[in-house]
Amino acid sequence: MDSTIGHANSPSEIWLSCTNCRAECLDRDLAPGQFLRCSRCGNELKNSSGGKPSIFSAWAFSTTALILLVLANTSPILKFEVVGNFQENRILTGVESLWDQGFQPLAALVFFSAIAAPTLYLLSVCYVSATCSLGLRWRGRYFCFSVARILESWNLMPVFAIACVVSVVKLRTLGNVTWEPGAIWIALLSIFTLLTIQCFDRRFVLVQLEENP
Amino acid sequence: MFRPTVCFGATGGESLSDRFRFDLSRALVIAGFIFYIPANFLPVMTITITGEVEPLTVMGGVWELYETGLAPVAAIVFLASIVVPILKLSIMAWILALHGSDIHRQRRMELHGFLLKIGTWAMIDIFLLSVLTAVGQLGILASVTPERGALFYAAMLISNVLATDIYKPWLIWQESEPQTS
Repeated sequence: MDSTIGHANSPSEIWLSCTNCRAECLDRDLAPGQFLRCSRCGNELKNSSGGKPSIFSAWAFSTTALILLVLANTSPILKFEVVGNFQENRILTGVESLWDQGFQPLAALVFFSAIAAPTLYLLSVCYVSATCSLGLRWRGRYFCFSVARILESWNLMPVFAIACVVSVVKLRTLGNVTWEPGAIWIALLSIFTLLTIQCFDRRFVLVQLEENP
Repeated sequence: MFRPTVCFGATGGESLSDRFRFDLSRALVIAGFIFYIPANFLPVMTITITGEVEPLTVMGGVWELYETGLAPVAAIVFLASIVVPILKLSIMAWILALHGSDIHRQRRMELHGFLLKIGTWAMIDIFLLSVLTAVGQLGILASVTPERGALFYAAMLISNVLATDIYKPWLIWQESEPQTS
């Protein structure tokens, strides 16, 4: 019986404390495929499906996303053309030009949320899901787990993808804009990022980490 | 048994006291309201196209999109960058105002979860600015430069996101039941 998130009052009754709203919920044995939800906030407390397949796919998706991340950062996204002069644009170009024009806080913010946070998030998810799916005890997995937990909401690749679309709409009024290969990588990256977030079951990972201390 | 992970998962670390969380969150919401004013009335960026200089406020950008016949896009930008920020700040202020009372607890928790989900989508405007400045560097022909309003906009957004993040759902339910360690 995994009483990882709670405390036992008596051997027969185990109360789980909801991670979201701290309501006390009575633990019970689950048939395969069932969930235990907090009655107050609906937060999923535990499931019995095992979760092993999901951690494997989190590993696969995060690895794919990492490769796409490299491609997305190295290839140009847009080409903008006004009367013969043209310019290509990467994610980092925006950061550079914001920095050059004296908006260092904005440059830092964009760098953090569009480059640093996705990279760190995907790296740590990849690392943690690899240790869990292989059952190994690699060093720093607790640290990586908390990095993944903190950065999950700061992984903004889908938002960046939409921003690119909006900027194309805006730039159409100024000159010729054409999509470059980088746009495809960004679109794919945001899809794989969402899949990774979906598959990376933190509660399950926590149980796994506890079983192999 | 290895214990540290338990508090990792269950509470996310007890680094901040509940009282401090509430105070910090309230301060950030007030800061957000203050930043909202310059963010909308100072120009966010200047677009220069073949010699014509055009400083744009957020509202101006929406109007321009509407005039070029892109009404749906204008509506999205209007919702995303003017209505949603003030709505989010107001909801958060409402949640904080009812802190400790027992009315609308369920509703407050749902709204808080919703705010957490949509919170970072406001970054779209910052990214947009970043992409536009990167592209619009063609000298006299065309250039896009950020203006001071963008800093206030970013400040408003960050304080809003942090306020939502710091205030935790369990604080909504706090007084109704005995504290469990």
